[in-house]
Amino acid sequence: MQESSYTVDLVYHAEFKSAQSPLSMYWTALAHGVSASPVTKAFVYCDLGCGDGNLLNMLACSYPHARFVGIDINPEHIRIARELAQRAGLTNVTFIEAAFDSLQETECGEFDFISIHGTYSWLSSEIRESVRGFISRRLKPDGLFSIHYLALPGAASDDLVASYIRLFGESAGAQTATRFSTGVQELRKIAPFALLFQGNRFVHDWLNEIDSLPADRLAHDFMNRQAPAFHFRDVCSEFGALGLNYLGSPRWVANLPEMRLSSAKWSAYGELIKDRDRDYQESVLDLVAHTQSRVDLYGHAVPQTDSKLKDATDLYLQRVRDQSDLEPRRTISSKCAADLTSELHDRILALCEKQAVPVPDLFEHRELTRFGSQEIERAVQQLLSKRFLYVLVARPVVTGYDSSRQYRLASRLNQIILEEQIASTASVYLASTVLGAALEIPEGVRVRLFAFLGGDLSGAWRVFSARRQEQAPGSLVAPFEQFQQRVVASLPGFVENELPHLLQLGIVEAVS
Amino acid sequence: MLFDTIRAMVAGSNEQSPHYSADSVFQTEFSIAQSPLRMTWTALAAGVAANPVTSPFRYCDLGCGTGSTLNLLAGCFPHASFVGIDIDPEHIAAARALAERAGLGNVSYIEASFDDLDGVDLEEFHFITTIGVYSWLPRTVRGAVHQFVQRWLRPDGLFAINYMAMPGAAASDLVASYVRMLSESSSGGTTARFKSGVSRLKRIAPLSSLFRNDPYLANWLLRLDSFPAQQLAHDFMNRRASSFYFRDMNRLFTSLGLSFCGSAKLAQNLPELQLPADQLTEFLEIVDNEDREYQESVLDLILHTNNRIDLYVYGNADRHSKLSSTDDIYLLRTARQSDAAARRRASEDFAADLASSVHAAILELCDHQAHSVSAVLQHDSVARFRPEEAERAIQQLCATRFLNILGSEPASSAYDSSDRYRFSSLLNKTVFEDQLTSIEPVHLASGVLGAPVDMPEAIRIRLHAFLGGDLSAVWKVFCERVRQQAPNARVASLEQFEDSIRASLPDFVARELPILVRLGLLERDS
Repeated sequence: MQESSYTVDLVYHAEFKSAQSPLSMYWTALAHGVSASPVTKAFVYCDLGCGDGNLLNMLACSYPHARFVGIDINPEHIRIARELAQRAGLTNVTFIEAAFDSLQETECGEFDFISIHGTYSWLSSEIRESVRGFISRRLKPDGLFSIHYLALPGAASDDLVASYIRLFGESAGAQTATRFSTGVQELRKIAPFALLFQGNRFVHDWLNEIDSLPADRLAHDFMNRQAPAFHFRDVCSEFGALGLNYLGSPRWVANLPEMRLSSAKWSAYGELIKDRDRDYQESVLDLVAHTQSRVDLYGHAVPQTDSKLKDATDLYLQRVRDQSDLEPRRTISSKCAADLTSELHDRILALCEKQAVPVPDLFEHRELTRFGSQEIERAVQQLLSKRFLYVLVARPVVTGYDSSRQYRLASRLNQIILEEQIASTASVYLASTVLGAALEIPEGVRVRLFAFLGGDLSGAWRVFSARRQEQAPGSLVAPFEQFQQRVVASLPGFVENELPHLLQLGIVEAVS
Repeated sequence: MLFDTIRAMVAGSNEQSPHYSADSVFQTEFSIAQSPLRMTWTALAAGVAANPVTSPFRYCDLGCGTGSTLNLLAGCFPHASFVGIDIDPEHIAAARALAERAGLGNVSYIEASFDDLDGVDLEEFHFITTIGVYSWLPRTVRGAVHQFVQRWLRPDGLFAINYMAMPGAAASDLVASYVRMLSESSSGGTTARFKSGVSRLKRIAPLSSLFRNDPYLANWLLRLDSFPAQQLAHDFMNRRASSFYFRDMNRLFTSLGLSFCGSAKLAQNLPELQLPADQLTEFLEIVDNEDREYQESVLDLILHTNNRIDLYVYGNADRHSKLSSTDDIYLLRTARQSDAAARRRASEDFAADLASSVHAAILELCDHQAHSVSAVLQHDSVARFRPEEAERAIQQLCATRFLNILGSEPASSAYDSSDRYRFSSLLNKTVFEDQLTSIEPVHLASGVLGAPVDMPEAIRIRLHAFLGGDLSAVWKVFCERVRQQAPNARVASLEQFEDSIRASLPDFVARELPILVRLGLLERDS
């Protein structure tokens, strides 16, 4: 077995990314005319480089009818991942401690979905080859494969900065984090008279911004020996050699250049790519949009121009926010070439407001007859990409709130996460079987949900007041009673506005 | 002056032709860094003991292109044997044709891929070079180069490798990869596709923040038109062009048992010639340890290095310079007129002061007569300075071309108007006649210099006239060029042209001829 140079003395927390959900992959395939095994039936999903397993456990909880396998080289990751799965009572997820170049011997079957996120760019070329071998052996014929990597041209400047931080930190001992901070300090001394930093603004800005980013995460990314960035074109031809075709990006906004470019750039871009193939379009878009990382979806089938979304009877669309979203839509539209406030967008949102609409029904809805199906689909994609609209993998639960009943979080995993991360400053996600993904729960909603479920707020209050003192020492902090009163006073608003969604998405359920 | 132009030459590109874009062969341009004498100089300065150039040695160039460098080196060192290896049959045919016409018996060419040399009959080499090739090879073939060096380099043998270096090459890498990508759907030969890629990239660049925020990239794009398209197409259209950090290369070759001696570009080894005084002070503080790898890496970052020629010895270098005891390498001042002003100018931007008294003493000593390095250092006029100071000054003067490094003592040069002269080698005669009116740089072999010498066009034409050559063909080419550049310009008649050349001959005899004789390019026709 080849020795890996992968950093293992820092834990990589696998924050939830919806692009990694089977639904995102499935939807992307359908949108590009490729049928895949439906996410509503049983499937097997493999995450290569699952980190601390947070994301995979979330997915396992969101799809109880599917099976998940996570593979990672770091024993600490596997330990944390298994522990969470066990505490949450998840029986449909397995974690395997293994290096990617020993996967040949690992018995783990074939997969409908394989994903590799935050990993590929950090592997040596030999191990990347092992990964490709794994995929060509283990991906089912109608399976989908999603890969995240550092992309050119945007990542070129990170590459340069990272390699000098590695070099200058080398002598600082065994600890990755120490070597990282030493490397940054040394580089800061040299940068003022290095031509590279005087000329190239990206490199210059990177070095300035480093302090504002989480050091552990950055150290993990930067201190790995191999962190090459790739051109889309090269990754595409590598997987093309395995008989896999690029289908699109499960990071939906990446498929919508009109959402990524200003109107002026958009029309110039349109001219540049006229009559060119998809590869060319993607490469030019990466250059124009200065792409830094990509998530690409590959499958064995050849993508078609005819979308299969019209036939997706098992998927539903629903608007999730109830307050007016016109202003945010206007702001977004003013910065890009798409107009999310058009009549078509308004109508789609209105139709999906009261109830979840099966995707095919939307295309045939009498209120939309004067719009072409391509036009409708584009508007839906645009709304989805900015989360004005959600795709659901199951019909939402329709029950009104009954004040005489007791409520609880529907899964043990969500209970653990809410309790442990109630006062977290990082994003907190709760798994939803209706969404087929986890939903981000902002701090305000989190505290109210916790209080609504009868949780003890004193622990959270202590963390909040400590944080406030740290940010503004000497400031007046509300006493616990006042804090509690304020939260309790906001509960009727919570019950009216947020609770219905949490019920619909199956995150909260009534105790029977 | 002849030597002034030698100086300009070093700064030039030294890309040889690797094998991939086989339809755009370009003329090999000489890299003085490939001279075994220069490699030896760098090795001696790094503490490698012997000068192998004085006795018979074997030299191999991996990726020799059309062989123009290797043939010239074979002409400079008749007592050594040279082997050139290249995958392109056209390159090999051109290299062999010149060697044959020049009657060179000490150079042979092998048409082969570096990863397919198993059956080839070779002997161990004292020198192996690979210039303008390595960065363009696929990974597996780079591995074959490493194996070749391990297998065929003698203990204490020297290896020079040129590659695209980080951080400077990051910008050209990006530009090249986009030119390739955007040209893929175009038809035609490499150069035509290259041009279409460039024109597409120029349309896209204004939309891209990459080009707005990275002046190196923007610069590259602007300059693309000012380079010969064919050569650039050759470099850019190759699929695999990889740039490397010095650190990674150094570790790789260290793991193979080689030790880094320094750069084959002499000035690169002297930070005081790269940095202004205030930066040098900071630089020395930052790199206050003895770690050469760290120093090189910091210097590359500061100078934004984009290509390197590194010299390695197979074995250990003890780091204590052996130059002071070197009595078989000679030094000769380059320019006869006062160069104090030029030295002051050269010192203005950097921390070194080339106009100091130690520099003046060395130059004065080596003005009319060549001395060995050890003799210079022991001479009364130089020995009154600290030995390290004097040696550093010699290195600085050699790196900046105020002093020439010679492999043997120069010939005497007194000229008698009754003397007739001729080229001392068939190689030089052949090259000279073939390329008399070339607009590309023309190089002739000098055994004294141990390296090819650049012959600027003006000197070439005067030399041709001096040797009694016919000027009418030269005049025709000259007229054609004038007409192309300025269609309405009045062109001198053949008589006028001949008169003006003849009028310049006394000056040629006084200034250039003695140098050509001393460097062994010309000899008396007895």
